Amino acid sequence: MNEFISLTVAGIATYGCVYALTAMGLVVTYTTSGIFNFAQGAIGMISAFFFYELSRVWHIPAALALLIAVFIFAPAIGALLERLVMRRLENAALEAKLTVTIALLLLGIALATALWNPQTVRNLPNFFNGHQVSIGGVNLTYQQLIVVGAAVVAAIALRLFFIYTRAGIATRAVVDDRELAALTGASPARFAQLGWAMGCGLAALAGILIAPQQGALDITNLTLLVVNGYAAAMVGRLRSLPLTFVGAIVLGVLYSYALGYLPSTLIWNDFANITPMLFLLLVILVLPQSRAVLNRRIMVRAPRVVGLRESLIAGVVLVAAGVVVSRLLSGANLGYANAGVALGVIMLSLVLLTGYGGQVSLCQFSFAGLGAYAMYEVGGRGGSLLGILAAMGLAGAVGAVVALPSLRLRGLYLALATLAFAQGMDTYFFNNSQYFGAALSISVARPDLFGFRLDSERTLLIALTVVFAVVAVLILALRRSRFGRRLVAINDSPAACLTVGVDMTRSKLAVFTLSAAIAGLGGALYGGVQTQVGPNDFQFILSLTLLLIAVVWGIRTTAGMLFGGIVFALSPLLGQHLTHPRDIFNLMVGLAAIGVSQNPEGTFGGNTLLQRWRDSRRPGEPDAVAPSVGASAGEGRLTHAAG
Amino acid sequence: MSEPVQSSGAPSSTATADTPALQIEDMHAAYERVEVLRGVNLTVGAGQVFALLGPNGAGKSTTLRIVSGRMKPLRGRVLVDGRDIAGRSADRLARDGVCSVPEGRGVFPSLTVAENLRMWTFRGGLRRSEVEDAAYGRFPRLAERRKQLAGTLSGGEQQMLAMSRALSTKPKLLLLDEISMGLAPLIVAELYEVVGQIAREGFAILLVEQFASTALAVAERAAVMVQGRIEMEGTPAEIGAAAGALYLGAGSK
Repeated sequence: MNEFISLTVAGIATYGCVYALTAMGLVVTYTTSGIFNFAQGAIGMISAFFFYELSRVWHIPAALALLIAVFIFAPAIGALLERLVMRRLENAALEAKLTVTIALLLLGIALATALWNPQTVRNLPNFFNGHQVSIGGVNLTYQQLIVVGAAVVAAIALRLFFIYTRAGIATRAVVDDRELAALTGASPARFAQLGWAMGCGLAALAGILIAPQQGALDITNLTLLVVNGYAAAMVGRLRSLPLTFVGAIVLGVLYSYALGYLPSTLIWNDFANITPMLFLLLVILVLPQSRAVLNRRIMVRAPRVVGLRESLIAGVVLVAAGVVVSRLLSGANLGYANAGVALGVIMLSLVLLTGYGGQVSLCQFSFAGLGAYAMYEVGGRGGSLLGILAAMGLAGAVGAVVALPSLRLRGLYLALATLAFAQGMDTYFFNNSQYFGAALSISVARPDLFGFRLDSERTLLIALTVVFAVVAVLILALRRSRFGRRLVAINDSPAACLTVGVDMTRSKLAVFTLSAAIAGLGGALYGGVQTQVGPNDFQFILSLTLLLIAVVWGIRTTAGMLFGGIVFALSPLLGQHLTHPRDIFNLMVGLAAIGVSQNPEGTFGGNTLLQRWRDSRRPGEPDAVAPSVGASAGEGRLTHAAG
Repeated sequence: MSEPVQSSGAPSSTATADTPALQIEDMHAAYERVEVLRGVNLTVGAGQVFALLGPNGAGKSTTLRIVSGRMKPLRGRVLVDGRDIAGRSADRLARDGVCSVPEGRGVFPSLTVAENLRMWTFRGGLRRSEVEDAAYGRFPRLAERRKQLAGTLSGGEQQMLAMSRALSTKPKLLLLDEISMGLAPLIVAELYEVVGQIAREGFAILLVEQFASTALAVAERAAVMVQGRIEMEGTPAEIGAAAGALYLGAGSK
């Protein structure tokens, strides 16, 4: 009984209240700006390091340092982000919005790594040095009391702010109707900025309060800890602060029980660690969907659909280029080229699913990993063709299972569900010695297609470009087909699709399955290129990077995916010259993705230089994002064109 | 940028009596490549009620969008109370005394009636009690619904709430965009009675409508807009006589 009480208290005080703080921050930013801030954790992490710097290095009293970090430093970051980046995304597609905050997440990790060497051990002591009080037989540290106090005060303060102050009412008014808010004299941008400042302040508070309980400060741990807050925010449907608070407490307590009661064998321990993700999945699946806030992009110019002849010519040119390049490159460079094309195939799966279908998946690398695993299991014994089929089959089948919930999920909810799935796969499948052996590494056979042995890197490159070209041509053909039109239509208006009798369930299931199968194919090929792969190759965070790079290069284009794949593959190359390769890479990708806020269609998307020049000769609106984003216009703008 | 216009006190307090409330000179505007305004010239005198009529797609609402700062014209000048408003944002203009009741949706649906009224106090210097008293004085029904979400009000009540802003915030220039749209004739009549009252109190109003007769009844001056140009301007009587011929099919009620 005593154990039960102390676990409950720990659940509330150690986890629940911290989740509550960060989740309330997420809700505030989401409602005011319509952007789900994936970087919430990164901001909390950076603030914790900043707090460390202030209190431990500059010896500023802890209370003062806390105030500076929570009320000045983090809000300033939030306000700046809103001003420089988020404001331009108001009418962008969901994947562009997601990409930019994912980029910020990676950027935050990269910056922190550059500023605070991970090799140095930094410990933040508990507030009041871990002194304890005993309340009703339960020992509570002052630290825990502070966490609970901070969460309760923040919740009450937010409630009072939104109900009783004019600024709070105006913030809610901006959520309701931006344009009308402007007409009453309240600047929508200013209140979105206020929302970001508040959200980041809450993230900072959460990060600083949880840091001492995690031992030495760890960049990745601190960043991902806050991910658990996503689930709580979902309980509140990203709107309700009280429900968010309750959700956070429930999650914290559940997590605490899982840690305390589940047997501490390897598997169960993993299980305890994915409780928040399971909770997130459950919440998304069980709770009713809130009214979907449709963020419709209205295109003025019809997107260009590449014709059959054009795509065939491009495919042949690509293969020819592959032949030439395979002669020019040698050694390690050839390896990068191979990995790049294989990664490009994985990226092509996103063109279908996200580019055309508008469904954002954050688990493509999990499918790729499944493909590689099937290739290892089947390809090694039953021949490579069978292995490839098994890879596509396994990934496709799992994709269909993941898609089943997606049939009623849309947008952000689907993205978060796939994220939870990917993290579960990481812990449960890829890091499982039952599947990946004691060394957590499997050797994947290279396919030998139609009698060609692909042992040489040169022939492999040619074969890979052939596969890439074939898949790309098929995807483009699919886009032109009835199925492709249906996908775009479903993305545009589900309601209209129902009225003309489109079977949305089947189409969504089909596109998800197909996309997963392509990712599986890419994964099998990628495994073959690397010959040895392990859990690190299919980490869920890579799926985020994949989406990010895809959006940067133009997620509606197949050509963009080839370049994206090569850029992705080149990341280890930096390792030879730099000390923190992955972080420098993240830094570059992060910066590039912030560029997405300037050009949501991506490098190969509608916005070529020529297009931009043409757009610049056309009129814009004062609130238009930028002349170059002429392709995406707010809904209201066109409805008001009449009259 | 010029200093913000005083918002309290009588309308057009800072300008002399003969400065027009609104002057639009040679205004051109386009949505992407579609040109919708092709040289609009229009003057609303101080304290004048001006009815801008025309068929669907003539550019009436676009004109209002530009005057309220929600859209930038390609060319041309807009003067409010003699001051060029170029570059001012919608919220800035609202604080400076340009009050819009936009088409169809003039209230925040998930805010209560009282909170909606509180939003109007963003027009500098207004007190909460002033705005509420003025609104409830004119529309006692709103007082009963103080704590109710605006989204749950009937269409007519929502329009009353939106209009009460115009009444309580003493605007320099009031822009009304098709306030009769989608409402029962009886309610339209009630709303226009209010418009008439506001007009008698000396506010300058630019009124956009498709139905000619209701608008012409309260207007002192009127114009018909067709395909992005002012086709005809004159007294309500003159416009009323010619309107049918100017835009076929969209004739008077």
